[in-house]
Amino acid sequence: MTASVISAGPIPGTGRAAQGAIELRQVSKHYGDVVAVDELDLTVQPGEFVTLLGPSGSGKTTTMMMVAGFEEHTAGAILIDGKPVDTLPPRDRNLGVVFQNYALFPHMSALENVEFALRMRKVPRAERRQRAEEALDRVGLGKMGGRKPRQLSGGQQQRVALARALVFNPAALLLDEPMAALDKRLREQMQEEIKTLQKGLGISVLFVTHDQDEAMAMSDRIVVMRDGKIVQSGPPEEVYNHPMTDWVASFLGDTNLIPCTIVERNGEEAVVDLGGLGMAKVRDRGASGENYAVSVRPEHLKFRTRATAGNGCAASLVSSTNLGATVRHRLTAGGHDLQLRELSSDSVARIRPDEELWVGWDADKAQLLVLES
Amino acid sequence: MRGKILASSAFGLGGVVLAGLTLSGVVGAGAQVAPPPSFSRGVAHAVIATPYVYLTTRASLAGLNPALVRSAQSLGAGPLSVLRHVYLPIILPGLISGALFAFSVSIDETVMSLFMQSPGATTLPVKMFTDIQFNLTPKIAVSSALLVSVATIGLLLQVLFVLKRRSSTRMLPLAVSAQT
Repeated sequence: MTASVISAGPIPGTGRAAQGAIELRQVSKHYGDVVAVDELDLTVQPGEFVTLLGPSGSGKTTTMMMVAGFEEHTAGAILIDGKPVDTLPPRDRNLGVVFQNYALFPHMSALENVEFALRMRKVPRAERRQRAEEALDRVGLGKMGGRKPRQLSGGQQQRVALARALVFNPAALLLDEPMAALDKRLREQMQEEIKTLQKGLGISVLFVTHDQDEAMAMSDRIVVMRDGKIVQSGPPEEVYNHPMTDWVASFLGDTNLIPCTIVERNGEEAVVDLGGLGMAKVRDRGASGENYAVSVRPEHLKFRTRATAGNGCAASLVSSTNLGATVRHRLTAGGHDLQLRELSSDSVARIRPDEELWVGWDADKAQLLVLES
Repeated sequence: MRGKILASSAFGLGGVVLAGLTLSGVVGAGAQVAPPPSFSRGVAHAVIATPYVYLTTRASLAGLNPALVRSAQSLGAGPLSVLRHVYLPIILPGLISGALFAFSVSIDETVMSLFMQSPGATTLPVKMFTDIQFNLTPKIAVSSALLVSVATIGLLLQVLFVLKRRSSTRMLPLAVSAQT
């Protein structure tokens, strides 16, 4: 269970081209007066891995259930490969779904679970057995076919669920927090395996999670949701490095938020007044609102010598915590609490509390954003 | 909650329906318009046994993970296939124990059967009861012995089954026992 055992490759005997565009147009879901999903526009390109990321209650699972056909949307249209599926029942949507707790049929063996979709499609016995065995082989469980789900570990159950969702060559794969029940190490391993499998098959994936690390590690594109709306969407690096609001910045990892007033905006760059921390040059992506702040990730804040010019200030150390690979320093500067994270190997062991220090950041690592809260 | 109310009212309702059936049997016997006696008796026994079957089936349905139904649907199963491949196998133990309950309640029921008996056919407890009253022979002892031994053998089989199941669970790999 330590090595990566899922081998990637085209689905045997199909040689199908990457398909599976999912499109949501102005899709809403109302439960009485409660708006769970609010006029959502979302497109998953063929072969793309899109993650819906948000806290619980943000509407991400409801969105996925509407795509799968388990929930009916109140308004809007859902299209799969260009065809409206609004009136199709789940069984005719041809989507592979992996549920949070896998939902394997407890009274069937692993192989029978995988065979199920082929049985429903009236595939002859010999062929479906062979295809199910191939699917189990692909997830590294070739020898476990005879076992019942309760005789399999969490990771193995998850692989069976994957094989079951893939065996009938679905148009796309929908994954609903599939790794929530696994421990950290297994989760990281499964992340890599699912990603490898997805790339190898060229299948589109709509993935739902509340875990920002998982979203960062797996996605081609992250769609951050809050209160049934899309807050920001883009490649993981872009959403992480260039959050549009303070909420997105804090939801995707730790950050230092320093309230500021804008002095000058010119295209990609802005000059801001950070109050007690002086003037600074920062990245600007055109976010507009009433109040602004600058976000600097803890790993982008660096200790400086006094001589370095721009985007820096004097600070004093409050505490240092060793987290293993990294060390987290808490600092105060100009009346603000700041966090600085550096590799343990780079860590400056000699610094003591109350000693005057200088910290700074590169202009392209500081992001101007809108303060929502 | 609603199910519980429904179940307990089913127990109560049974009495009302029974009274009606008995009455129709008694009155109808004179008027020659009653349904055939074996039919009334069947309905009467079903009325008594239904709440037991309902309760055990409901308990096993409550334990069914709704995601199982959804995953069957996403894999291409229509309503009938979901019933056959998901619901039935999972509630089967509940159905079987309900059937056993129904059987034992039905065979145990003397008073109602006595009211509804007809000359052509009678039930075992009724026959035993009338024989004790009017026709005491060793047959009564034999049938009692048979009933007791069937019950005892049934009980022993169940104990054996549970013991076997427990030991097979114990032999599962470590990963599984850690989970449970």
